[in-house]
Amino acid sequence: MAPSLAAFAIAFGLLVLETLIGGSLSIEGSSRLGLVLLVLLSFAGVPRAVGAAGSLVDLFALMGPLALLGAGLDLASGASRLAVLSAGVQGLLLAVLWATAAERARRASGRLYALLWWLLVPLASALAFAEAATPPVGDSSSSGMGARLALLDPLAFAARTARAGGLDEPLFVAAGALLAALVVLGSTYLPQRRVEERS
Amino acid sequence: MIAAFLLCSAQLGGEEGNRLHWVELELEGPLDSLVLDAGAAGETRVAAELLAGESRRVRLPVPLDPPAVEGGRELALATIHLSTTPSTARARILGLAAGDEDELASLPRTLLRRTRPPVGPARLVASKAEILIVLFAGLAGLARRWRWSARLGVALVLGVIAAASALARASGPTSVRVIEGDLGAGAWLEVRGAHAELELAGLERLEVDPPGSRLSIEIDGLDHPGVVRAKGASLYGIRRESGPGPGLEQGSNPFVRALLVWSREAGGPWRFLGLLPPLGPPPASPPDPRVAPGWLVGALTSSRSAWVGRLESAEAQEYLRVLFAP
Repeated sequence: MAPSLAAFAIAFGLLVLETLIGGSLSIEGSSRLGLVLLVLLSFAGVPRAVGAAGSLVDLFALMGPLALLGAGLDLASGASRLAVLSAGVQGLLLAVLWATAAERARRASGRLYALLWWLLVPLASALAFAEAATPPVGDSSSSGMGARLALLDPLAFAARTARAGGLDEPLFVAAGALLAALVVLGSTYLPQRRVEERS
Repeated sequence: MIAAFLLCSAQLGGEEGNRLHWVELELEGPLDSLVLDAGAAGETRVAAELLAGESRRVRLPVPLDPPAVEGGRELALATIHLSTTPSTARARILGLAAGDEDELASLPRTLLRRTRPPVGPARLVASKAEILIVLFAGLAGLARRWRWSARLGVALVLGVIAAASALARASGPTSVRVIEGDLGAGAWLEVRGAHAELELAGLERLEVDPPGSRLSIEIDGLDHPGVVRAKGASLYGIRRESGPGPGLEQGSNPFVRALLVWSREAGGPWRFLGLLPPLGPPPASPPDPRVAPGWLVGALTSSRSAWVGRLESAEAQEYLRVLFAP
């Protein structure tokens, strides 16, 4: 429940902040659906401790209304239906896959999953951010490790969607979704195989 | 991570420049259509319909980027790729035509470079009612005693209600006309702003926000002015005009429609003058104060007296913005 509550508090706070101070906020021009997805994906796959309470239902019961409101605000502000639908479906798919993987890993052995999550979510984002903030040398644009990892990073997808004008370009994150699916399968079947081998 | 993203997403202002340039072409039929491809800057598609043996010398608009033009005419021409249908048709670019931009450039910057009006759907923020709905949905989502289907169902219904409420407040695309004047220079401009699509008829300059947006110009026949389109962008067409009749210097409304006016002495604050009747002076009794739109009074030099106003019109938003002689 704790990651879901934290995600709800942050996303809800962003929308309230924008309502209260409007144009003074630096998220002016950003997609509200993208912001909610950014928060949702930040928390969907957080590795859970063995025995920790939490479920997909908690996450989507809390974040679903915020995502729908974000989509409504984007559409009312002139974003195209196709772009909002595309971002919403991809974000939902990624969130379900990551959250399911985190749940399965919690019930069994979560070490592999936790390692992958740290590599593909916070580390990939940090590397991509560091590379973007560093002036390029010669013609080395978009060739760094951070840029390659960012292709699989759900946060990079959400950040691109959320930025001003990001909804104008429908984005496809098949690679990230596929990897998340592999993580789900891996965390589901690997522990069973180990048990079978031991017996 | 979220904080870093928010810092990065702060919008940066961009330089504005003219995106409307003209090329002279020699065409010989049979010719169905032609495309002037200016790469990332955009393209011009023309339905030409010239018969065999028919030839024309035409001047067509092309959406060049300001840096390409600043690099020189030869460089700008090199960025344009011409293709025709049928491909065997004879068409030749003679050169960049002398544009009206050269004459506009001689106008004072205080007239040409002013804040443009916002166009397009306004950015909506969540209303208090919508905030309360999603807050209630969040509280319902915490009710772990409920069945999972009931929790998700309530979340879905409340989310759809909040989204529908936001959609019901949506405002449609707008178009705005601003009459810009500089009584010191004796010059007037008409600025027409629109979201995503603008007719090119009579335009001498085209400004686009965001400045680097890809433009698509479509012309249905060689004698038609055409339209320019840019997805998600604000388009501003500018042309010189003769200005309204006399009377502004004396504080009268020179228009045949009522005018809501704010005035300012050089260096002084803005003052609401009220609704001026058509072809008439301000009312004798001071009206209740009203605040002028920010974009209308913003970035207008404070060293000269000025008038800004909104023309009463049921059809479109029309504004007046005038700097008096120093």
